[in-house]
Amino acid sequence: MNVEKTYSKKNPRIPVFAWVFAFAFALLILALAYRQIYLYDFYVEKGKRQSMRRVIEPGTRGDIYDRNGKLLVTNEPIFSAVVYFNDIRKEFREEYFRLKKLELLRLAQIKSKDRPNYNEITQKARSNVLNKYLQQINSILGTEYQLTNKDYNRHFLQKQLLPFPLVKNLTAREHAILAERIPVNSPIQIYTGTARYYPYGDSASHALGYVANNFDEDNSKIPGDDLRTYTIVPTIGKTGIEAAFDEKLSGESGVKIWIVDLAGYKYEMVRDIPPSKGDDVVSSLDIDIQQAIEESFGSRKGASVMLDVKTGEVLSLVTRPSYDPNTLSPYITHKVNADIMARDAWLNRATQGLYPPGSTFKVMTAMAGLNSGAIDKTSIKTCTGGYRVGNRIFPCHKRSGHGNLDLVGALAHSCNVFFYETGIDTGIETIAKLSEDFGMTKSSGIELKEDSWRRTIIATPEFKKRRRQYDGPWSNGDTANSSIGQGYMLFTPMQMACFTASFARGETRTKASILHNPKRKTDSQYHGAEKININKADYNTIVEGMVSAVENGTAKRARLDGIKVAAKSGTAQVSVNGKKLTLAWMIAFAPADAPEVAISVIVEGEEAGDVGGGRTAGPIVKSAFQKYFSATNRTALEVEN
Amino acid sequence: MQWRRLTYIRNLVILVVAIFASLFAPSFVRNGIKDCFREFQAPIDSLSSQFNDLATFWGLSSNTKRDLIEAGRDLARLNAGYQGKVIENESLRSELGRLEKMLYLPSYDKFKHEVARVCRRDINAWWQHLTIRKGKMHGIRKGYAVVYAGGVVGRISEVGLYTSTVELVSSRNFRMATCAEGDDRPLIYQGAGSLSLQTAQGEVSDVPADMSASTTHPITLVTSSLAGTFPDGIYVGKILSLKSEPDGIFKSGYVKLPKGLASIKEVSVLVPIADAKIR
Repeated sequence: MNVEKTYSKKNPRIPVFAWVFAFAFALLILALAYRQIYLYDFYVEKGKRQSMRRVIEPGTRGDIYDRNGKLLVTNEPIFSAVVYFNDIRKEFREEYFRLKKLELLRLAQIKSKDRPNYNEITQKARSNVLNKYLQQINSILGTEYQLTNKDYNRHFLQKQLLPFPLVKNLTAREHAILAERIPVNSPIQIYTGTARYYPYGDSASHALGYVANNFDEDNSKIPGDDLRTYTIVPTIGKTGIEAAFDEKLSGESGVKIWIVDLAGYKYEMVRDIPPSKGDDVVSSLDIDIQQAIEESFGSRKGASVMLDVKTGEVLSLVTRPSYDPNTLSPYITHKVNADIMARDAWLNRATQGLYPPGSTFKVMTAMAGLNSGAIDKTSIKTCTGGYRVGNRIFPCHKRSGHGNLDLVGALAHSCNVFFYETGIDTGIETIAKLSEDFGMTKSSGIELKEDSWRRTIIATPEFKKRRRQYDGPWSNGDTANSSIGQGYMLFTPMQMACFTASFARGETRTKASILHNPKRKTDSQYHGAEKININKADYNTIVEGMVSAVENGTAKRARLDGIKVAAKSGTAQVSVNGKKLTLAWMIAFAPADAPEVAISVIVEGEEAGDVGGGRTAGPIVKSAFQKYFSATNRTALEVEN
Repeated sequence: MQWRRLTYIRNLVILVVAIFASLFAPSFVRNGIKDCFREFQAPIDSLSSQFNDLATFWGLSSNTKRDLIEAGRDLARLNAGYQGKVIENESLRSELGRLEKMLYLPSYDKFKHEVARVCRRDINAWWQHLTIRKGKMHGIRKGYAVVYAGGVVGRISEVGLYTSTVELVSSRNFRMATCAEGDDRPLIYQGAGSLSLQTAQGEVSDVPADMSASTTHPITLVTSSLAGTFPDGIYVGKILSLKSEPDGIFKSGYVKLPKGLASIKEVSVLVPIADAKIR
């Protein structure tokens, strides 16, 4: 009875307690609703960010071919023996507990009150497990590979979801042995990466370019941009075709999104987009011609550009010395860089080297002279070995003089006196205007890096006035010098090749391209060209002079049996750091009566007089044409017939 | 009364105790028991296989004289054919030796053959492994290559004193380095189980992108000596199709294994001559 009385419903304290309880409960429900409903999106997003990881794998780069379908650049598989930390997590834990137990026992034995260094034990456990697998590989391969703590600690912290390489760059034999002897269900796996491979080594390396690791890749367009991301470093084209067509060559990156547990180990994959390979590029290069020219250069420095006269496609783009792009990927070592620097091999001389054109410029002077009426095809001038301008005598390369010469003879024997006189009679403005019309201060249009055209120089009185080092007003001496391609004139071998191709076509401009396109338009509109402003007979006279140079003049070393070659040699003098050097030039096209290919060659001499246009550049032109005409199945005999 | 009740469940208790004991026993104890069991079982398997051979012998001996005469004639024809092949083989061998000598190439006679009969093949692991009637006593060691007239059989995975287990080429746990006939680039082969009791298949990966295969122009997959287990050129199977991998460098595909693999009676274990000499 007492009990009933004590807990009677009418006890006034019970409603109070009930209200307090109801209020507290309601508060709890509200708080719960606030978190579960109102803050739902926030927590979902937070949870996702905490538990999801993104792994980005770059797409393989496309291949590069030459115009005949020969593979110039491809990807080489790189095999590595790897382990995924996820697969050996249990072993890490077991080893950790074993080491911890040993450490506790040790401390107990020495009656130490110190606590074990758990961080050290963790690292030791990882080291033991990874080294166990490495030893397994070593015993199979008979090798002595080793790991450092730095390797796996950094990998564990920064790239936990990516495979950890125990042995990198396995040889084909090592790969085969491991594939066969390591159990299929072992945590050790063979990982296949790729590296850029250039089968022709240093051949055409400046044209093809090279790739390097790209640590600044923009991954914002890949799903999961807000997630913590692990990236297998992609590559980017640094120079040449690799850089010019990087977007096309680069494949699409793939992505895997993983849900991970609290320790960061993989739990479940929620998204998998595989990477895709980039597009292939068919270059206009002909690797056989390229190699023939490179071979004929030997160990000399210089450059050469060979163009298809009609299309402007670059058949060869040679720069010597060169480098092997295989040694530059995925990164350039100090040793390799120092070697390339010492050989001055980084510069792409064909598109970026600036040289005075020497006597090859006489073709331009001849055109300007004919155009202006200063000379005609029958004009005769007398060379006595020198030409007086004011108080100075400008020499001819033949000190005894060439005697009486017409334009054909002057071009054939490269008589300086004829062109001194022609240049002065024509006037520098006319010569400069014609050079401008031929685009000698413009880009060739090639897709490769070619910024040197901005620094090319057509010598004019205005130019001389603008120079920082003022050395007097323009004089006839300057005109005489410019008429034979000396003085201030500076052009790139690419521009000289374009000039030659344009002249061979009877037009003023050639748009060069490093891409092969059989459907390319070849009209003057495509090249942005106009017809040369001289009559056919005058044009033929210049061509006759160039053919004569090959037949019995200064360019006879470029003579090819059965093929009529038109060429102009040149030997220019330059002063580099106070040292006088000689440059050997030759421009040529063939066949002279129906031009197909044009070429420019420059060879840098090591000291004054060691090279000459005809004797040094001539054989290079000959080997290039020889290769071209034999490659197109036109032997000398067939052409003759 | 209670004791009688216990006797009813005694067997169950023993089973539970045995299971617990096997679960918690150290691995060396478990391996020891497994090996002992294997050695006890080996004579039974061996005897059973020999009885099988005897039964086949008696079965054949009950044939009529006419059957025997006809079989004898067939055999004589086959023998004549094989005699021709042997002569051809000898001539090829001598030619090979001459070329090796001329080109200073190493000799490929690196293995000796240890012929063994198949004594057991479980129906539930038909394409995984089989047991042969030779073991450690015959110089066989783990990892040795096993072949038969139709090509690769597999690799020795376990060795007893008188019997050995062969991991079959069709097993998912079997992986090896191979190459396409006439091409020395290494391809990785792995068993892929069976389609039925009649045919099995494998997978091939790391196939260079320039290779292609079709049912009309299949690629013949042969062994590569790169890893040292197998000699060059032993038939593995045919690649009937290939598909490109996302990396663009390699292709992968399925390998059709020979039908003869389903009914192997006799195999040859390739014992490396260096190992045989040491023994």
